[in-house]
Amino acid sequence: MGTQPEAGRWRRQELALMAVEHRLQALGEYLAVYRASYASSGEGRHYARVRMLRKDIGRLRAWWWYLQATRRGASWLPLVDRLASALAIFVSPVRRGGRRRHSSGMMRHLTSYSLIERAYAALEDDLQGQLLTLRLAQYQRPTDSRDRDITVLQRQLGEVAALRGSELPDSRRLTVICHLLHRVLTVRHWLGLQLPLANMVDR
Amino acid sequence: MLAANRLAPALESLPRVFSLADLKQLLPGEEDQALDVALRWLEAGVVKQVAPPRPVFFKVVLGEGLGDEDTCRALLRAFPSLVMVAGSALWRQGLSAQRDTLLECCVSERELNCHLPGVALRWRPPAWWSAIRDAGGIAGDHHGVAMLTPEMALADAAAFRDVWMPDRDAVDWNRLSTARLSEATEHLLPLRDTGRVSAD
Repeated sequence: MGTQPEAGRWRRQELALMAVEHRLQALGEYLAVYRASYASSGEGRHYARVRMLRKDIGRLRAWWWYLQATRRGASWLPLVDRLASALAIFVSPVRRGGRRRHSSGMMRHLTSYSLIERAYAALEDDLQGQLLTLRLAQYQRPTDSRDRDITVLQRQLGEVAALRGSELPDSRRLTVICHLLHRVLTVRHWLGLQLPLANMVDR
Repeated sequence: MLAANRLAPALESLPRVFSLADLKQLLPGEEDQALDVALRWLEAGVVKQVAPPRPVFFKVVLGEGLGDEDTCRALLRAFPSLVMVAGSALWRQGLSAQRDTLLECCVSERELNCHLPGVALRWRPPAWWSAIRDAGGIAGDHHGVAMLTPEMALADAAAFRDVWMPDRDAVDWNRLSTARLSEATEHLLPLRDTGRVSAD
């Protein structure tokens, strides 16, 4: 009896990881272009974008690590969860989806919650784009295999909607988790330890 | 049909290039309907996907092609790693007397299917962006799309040989730096084989 919810949870974890990996990929690509632009021009606006993107990528990587650890049942996870619950009270509450203006006045800083939520929303958009492409092809030339693909995509879309709707932790806890693990990743990097990184195009 | 009619004005209120997220913002609380509406528009041929399956669209207007600005906007929304290369970069920087017939850009995605008229996408390996950065190979942007410097555009065309370049006589060589050309060529040299293998 317990296997079906378990399988659903597993699939949603897969989708959450996929969402973060896709977003990391996209941000990594933006970063590559901005870094190249900054290296050539030295313009401040490019530097501000590079800094902002690096921060976003750092927090997304941290969240990716947390998701991976949740799936593996990592031994350190309960400690992180306890720390996050304890430290969350010190984090000022932010509006869901709220954004703060960067000090430069040009860039906008996304809260950790918005950052992750946008990654899930972007995956939803991507899946819907795929669904539209398939539906259009099915409308023009119907096939059974495409029909099955459409059904799979629709199920995935339902799961991503559930992820966005109910499976994100409280914004303050999420902020603590992202910042905490981001710092751990930075320290590991300084110490020359191997980093648990998602596959991304950052160069 | 009723729903489609009710939502018909939405197409007018959208810019020439838009994403599914833009459409959803016009229909708050009716995200599923946004998908249905987009599908109806696609079926009717009033919009096209810029690069299927990416959720970015452009409106099809009979007798009115997309301008440079809208084309660049559409490409930027579909391909984050976009960089303009080859004769397209030379022409837009005033170094070529011959104009490109296709806007050529490089991306890191393997899927190069693009429905935008007058656009050609080429694949480059991930290390290409590092090489461009190390060589300082970006010369500003054209409607937001980063452009290679003329020297880097020449070196890239020589290394990958999959892009259009103007005739030798049509290029203003006086404005090119031999030192920078040599540096750019050196940076792209290690990538030559990668590019050729993938092009095959």
